[in-house]
Amino acid sequence: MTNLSRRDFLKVMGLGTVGLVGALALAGCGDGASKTGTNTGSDSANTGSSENTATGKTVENVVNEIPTTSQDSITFGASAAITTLQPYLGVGLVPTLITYGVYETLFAFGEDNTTLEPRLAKGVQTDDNLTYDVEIYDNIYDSNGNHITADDVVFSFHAYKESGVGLAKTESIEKTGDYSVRIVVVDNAIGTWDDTVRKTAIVSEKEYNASEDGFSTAPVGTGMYAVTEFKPGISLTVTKRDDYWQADESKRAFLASANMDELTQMVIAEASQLAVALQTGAIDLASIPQAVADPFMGNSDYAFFPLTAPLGLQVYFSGDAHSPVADNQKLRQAILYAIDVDAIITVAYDGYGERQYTFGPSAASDFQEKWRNEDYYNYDVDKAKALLEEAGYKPGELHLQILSIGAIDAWSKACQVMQQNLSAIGIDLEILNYEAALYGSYMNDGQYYDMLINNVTQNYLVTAWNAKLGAQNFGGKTCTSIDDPKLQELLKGCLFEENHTPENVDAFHSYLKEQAYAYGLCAPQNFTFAKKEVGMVEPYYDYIGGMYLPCCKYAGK
Amino acid sequence: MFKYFLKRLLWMIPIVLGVAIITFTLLYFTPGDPAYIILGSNATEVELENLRETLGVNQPYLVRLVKYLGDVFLRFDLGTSYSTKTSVTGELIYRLPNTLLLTIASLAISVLIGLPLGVTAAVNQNRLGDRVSMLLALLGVSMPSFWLAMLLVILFAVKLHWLPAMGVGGLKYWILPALSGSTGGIASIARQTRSSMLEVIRSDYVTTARAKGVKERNVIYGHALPNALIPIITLVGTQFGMMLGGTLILENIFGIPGVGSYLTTAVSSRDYPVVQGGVVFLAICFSFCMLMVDMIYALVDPRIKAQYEGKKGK
Amino acid sequence: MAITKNTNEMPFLQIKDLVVEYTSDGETIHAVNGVDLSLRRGETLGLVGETGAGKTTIAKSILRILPDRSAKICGGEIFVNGKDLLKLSEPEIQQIRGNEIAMIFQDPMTALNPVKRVGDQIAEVIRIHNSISPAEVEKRAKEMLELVGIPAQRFREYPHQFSGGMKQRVVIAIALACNPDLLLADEPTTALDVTIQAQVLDMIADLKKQKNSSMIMITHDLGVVAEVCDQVGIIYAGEIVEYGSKEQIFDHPTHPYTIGLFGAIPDMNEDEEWLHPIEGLPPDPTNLPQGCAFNPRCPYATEECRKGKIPFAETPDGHLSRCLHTAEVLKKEANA
Repeated sequence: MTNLSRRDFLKVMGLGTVGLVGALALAGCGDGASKTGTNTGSDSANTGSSENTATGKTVENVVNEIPTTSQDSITFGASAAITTLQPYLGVGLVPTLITYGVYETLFAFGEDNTTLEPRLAKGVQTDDNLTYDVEIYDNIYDSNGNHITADDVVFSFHAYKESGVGLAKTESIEKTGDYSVRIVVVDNAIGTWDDTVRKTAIVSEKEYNASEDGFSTAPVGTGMYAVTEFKPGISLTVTKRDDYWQADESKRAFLASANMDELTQMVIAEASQLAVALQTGAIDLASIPQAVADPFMGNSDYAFFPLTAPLGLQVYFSGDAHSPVADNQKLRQAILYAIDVDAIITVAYDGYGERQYTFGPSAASDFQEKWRNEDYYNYDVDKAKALLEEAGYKPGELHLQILSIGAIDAWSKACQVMQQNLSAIGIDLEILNYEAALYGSYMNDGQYYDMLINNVTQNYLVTAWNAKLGAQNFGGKTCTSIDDPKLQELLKGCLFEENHTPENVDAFHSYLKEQAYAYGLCAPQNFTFAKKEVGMVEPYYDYIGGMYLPCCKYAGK
Repeated sequence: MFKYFLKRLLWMIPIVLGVAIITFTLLYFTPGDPAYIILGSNATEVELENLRETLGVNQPYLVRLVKYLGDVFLRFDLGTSYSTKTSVTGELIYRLPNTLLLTIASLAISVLIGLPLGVTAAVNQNRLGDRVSMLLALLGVSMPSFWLAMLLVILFAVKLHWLPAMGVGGLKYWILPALSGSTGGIASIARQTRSSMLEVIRSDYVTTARAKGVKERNVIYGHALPNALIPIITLVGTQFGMMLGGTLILENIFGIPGVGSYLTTAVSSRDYPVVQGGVVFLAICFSFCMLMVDMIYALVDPRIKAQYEGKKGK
Repeated sequence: MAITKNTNEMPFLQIKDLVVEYTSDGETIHAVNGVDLSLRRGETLGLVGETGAGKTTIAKSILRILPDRSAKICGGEIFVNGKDLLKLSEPEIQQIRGNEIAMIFQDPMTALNPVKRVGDQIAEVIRIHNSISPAEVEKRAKEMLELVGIPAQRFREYPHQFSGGMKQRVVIAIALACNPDLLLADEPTTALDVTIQAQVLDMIADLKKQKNSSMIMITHDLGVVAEVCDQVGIIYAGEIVEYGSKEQIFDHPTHPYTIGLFGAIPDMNEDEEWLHPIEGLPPDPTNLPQGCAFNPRCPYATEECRKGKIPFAETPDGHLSRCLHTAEVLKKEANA
């Protein structure tokens, strides 16, 4: 200290600090440094039939090396919290291992995610698509040996409805025999019957009432799996039952498949930790966000399963009188022409996504392939400028607000791209980045915004349209307060069992497109990586795009 | 002494009542819709309204407040979560041990490192030891715990395979979370220790100890440090209270189901019973924590103990 | 330059040319500037001087308990029983502290550790320097308490439960617990009520006699010196300016500063209206005057006094004084 002045000393220490921090940072970036290299590798590895079209760099039909054997148990990670296993809760709170594997419903989707298959039900009769007579098997037993009868079915429907979460689509349910019930639904729209019988878990009344916490920690169902270990907030393990009530395998519903003996779902909230867990071998399989997928891309130790999610982004216009977009079709069209969907895919989904061709997922069963070739407001700035002028606005005159959820990264980024796109034609777009609950209280009222970003997931387009635009759901208007009788008429003209024809669906699609009330932007691509040892041959995703492992196919099984 | 603490315990009742009313009122006036979170984007307005009715969020302020206070103070029931339909009390009791363990482990590391660091700094005031210690402390306070957490995970879990990257289990699962959680504490404890040691170290009784032939180490740790402890205990106590609800980020990264992540999720999903219950619960914990701090004061400093006892002696 | 007179006997304590400096904000404070002194077993030396003259620094130098951050012993030797304390290692000096040499501190209110029981504070010094059982340690600590007049049942009490006088007794008990050969008493009565002062002094003197210890009594109170000391050293600006037996100094003060000190004591036999303080202020220790440090305040000062260090000169009655004008001073004093 004597030779070194105080100032010099501090300087030296300062340099030391920078060096130390730098070294630590380098340690942290060790993986990132090789990013470019890995990427190149992955591109060449995925040449299977990867399509690079205008829809962005979607990766499809990746040829994974076919494994010959598979594990008997899988541990996988997911970011969703697991705090409870109750049968009657809101969306996403209970993992599908429970909702599909432990609990069973009267009907379930088949492998195509569209056809309704009987599960607990043996058969169904209806004359008007409103009143259904359902017969259930007489040999249904849950994992505690309780015999399931019509009384339990009636009880379960009531319990679901009383929870307040149950979709208000069941008009009534009554017992008509020991093993038969009559269910009346509120309407015969496409999806109403499906939702009613596909989402209500049937449990034993006696067992449910005996449970102190409403099956929160120890659920008892009739399904192929039973919970063997549940650590709330940490992990859930289910094991295949060997006393499943349906002994005749040919009569089992697809969703009752049990191709894996034991499954453990671990809660890993952080995306990067999900990647770390997969790397360290703590888990065998995980759906990894694009941003942290690099270490696995083209890595031969992992099988790669991409999926374009049946859930995507849509943008809506307000129909409330305060907004300039409400009564100005040309303005809405101008805005849509100005939006560069490919840029949104690049920015919001790292390039991994697919644009939409109508308001709703392209994977929906009533999607029409011909729409792919239509001009669905394909990015065209000149057209946008011309339409803006026709709409009666000069550049710089308009200030609009778009409502979004700040915490959802992809939404915020999509809004930022739109903000830039619109400024190119002279419209100032302000992003209202609210948190989810606040967004929820404003989103169904057009007076709070000019534009709205949202997503909707349904297996039928008409159901998605009805959920967001059906006037009976929002007091006579659409979810963004648009009052258009013709839109409602066309919706009713394709929504029901008797009129759900391609022509009618196309008519609504065309009208909605022309009016530009709401617009489907794009859907992200999700990546699932599995360790090779898992032996997965063919994945199965449910109707909202979640991988359901018991129904996947494994080598040697 | 006993009377003093009994008085303090009784004082907790109005504090908790106040916390309950304030939390309830704030939440009541916070906009946001729990029903949307529960039902998701696909829900129609009819379905949302139906759920709001079931949850009772449409009832007037006073009706809900009185019912809530009645539940909490007369039936000792913190309610049931809107979204998961589970008992808030049960969930908090399930999660508290995890948070407590994380907090205690982090703080223990903070104290074990921060205290000697601060003492070293004070003993070597304005010399190399001081500068290095304070630099380490500065590094600790400016290093965000989540960042350190990720670095530690990459080093110890991914590269070296020594420790698990996440999860809840035996001792080895707690090492990385506790280390990551300790940095901020190390820094503030080191700084507090340094400044209060600097005051004490010049005291006459420290010279007396030296003049008795006490070894230097013992002079510092046996004679000076106990006198410097009061502000450090206060600091540790407050940190403890804050960490009970504030370990959210670490809980998320390391997959530990704790109180912090429970409450934050509840706030963003407007799960009113959970937020209210959680805040009341934390208020009680915090009050107990401060009471503990006061009791430790009495253990450390006989003069404070004498005050509690009401001026016995001189 | 040794002050020792009877050179046939090796003195118990001998300090040679001790120089101590403090640094504060880059300035050097010359606290002790070449002090020599010696002390025989059983004798008491009084160090007298104004506040800041360097008395306490000398005592702390002997124990080597100066604040090591700011103070530095720049030179000199301190022999106790033939050992040079300044050359000992830290563990070696630790064995001497509290055992062979003990110190009584000035302010009993702050000298005791407030969070430790008084009994334990006494016991600690006994435990460190004796290899005896804990029970034996406690027994001896209790004996020490009784010895200084405090009932042994107060062993487990804390300092805040004690009055100032009792605290000082505890401090004395700590200092005497190991029968030290040398006792350094730093103004042991300054902080006490006048009524207790005498008690405490008597006690120190008694105990010292019992244990046949030597003592350095630091004080600015000449009354205290008169009561307990054998030898007296007058300190001014870190230097001993006059040194001799109590009688020599009291009966024939020779150095102008010593005379000034005595002059500042009001004479109870005469009706004086004013106190007679020494003119001027003590010198700035960061910037001591050249030559005799007292020269700016000295009525006898000449040009010579400002040149170089003034050596000791023997006075007519055989004690030592650092003054060039002894004859002149004595003449004037005799006339007065």
